[in-house]
Amino acid sequence: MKALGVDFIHRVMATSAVLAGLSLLFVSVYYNWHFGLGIFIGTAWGIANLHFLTQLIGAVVEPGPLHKRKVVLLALVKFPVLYGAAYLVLHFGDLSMLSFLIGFNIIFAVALLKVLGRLLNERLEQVQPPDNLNRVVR
Amino acid sequence: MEVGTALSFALPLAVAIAALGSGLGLGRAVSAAMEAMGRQPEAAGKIQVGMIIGCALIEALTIYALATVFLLMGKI
Repeated sequence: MKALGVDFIHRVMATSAVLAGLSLLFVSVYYNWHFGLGIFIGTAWGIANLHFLTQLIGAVVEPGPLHKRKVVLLALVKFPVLYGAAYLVLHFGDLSMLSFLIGFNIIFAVALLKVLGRLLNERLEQVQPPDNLNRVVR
Repeated sequence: MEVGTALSFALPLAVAIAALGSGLGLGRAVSAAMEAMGRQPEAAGKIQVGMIIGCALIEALTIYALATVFLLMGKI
């Protein structure tokens, strides 16, 4: 399989955001408004978590001098602030933990499905090259 | 022993074990990735993406443990 670039993470976050919006709409209409909101907040939290993780690792690993202030700021936002926000939302927000966890899992499901799709696509290209496919179609 | 008492012993222990396992896993993953980046700086971008996804998945496991503990805390 071809190596994944940083754009893969950005695409996963964008797809998850779209899916979170759709889940909010569908679950709110067909099941329960609070459950839909929990899924949406869980996905938003997962996206923010992945975003800050990417930024933090990028800031630490990037070549050149280390920007200590940026790293400390990102670590502070990612660990105490983001986790504290999740605790406050779950404790005082009257949201179910299950809906939050379902929303949090969406981002991983999207990443897994994207990788599987890419793998399957490459396998299909190996089995039947595009030229042969075109010939069969014609 | 009552269920509540057992849970009050088990829940902090469960989070501690999950955090310990996650910390060890993250440490190994990041150290291996750093070593790989040091050996092959031209592949740093690709290694970095793998490391980020791995770190997110390992972190998620701890969050599941924490969520389970929060759910069971209501039964104490």
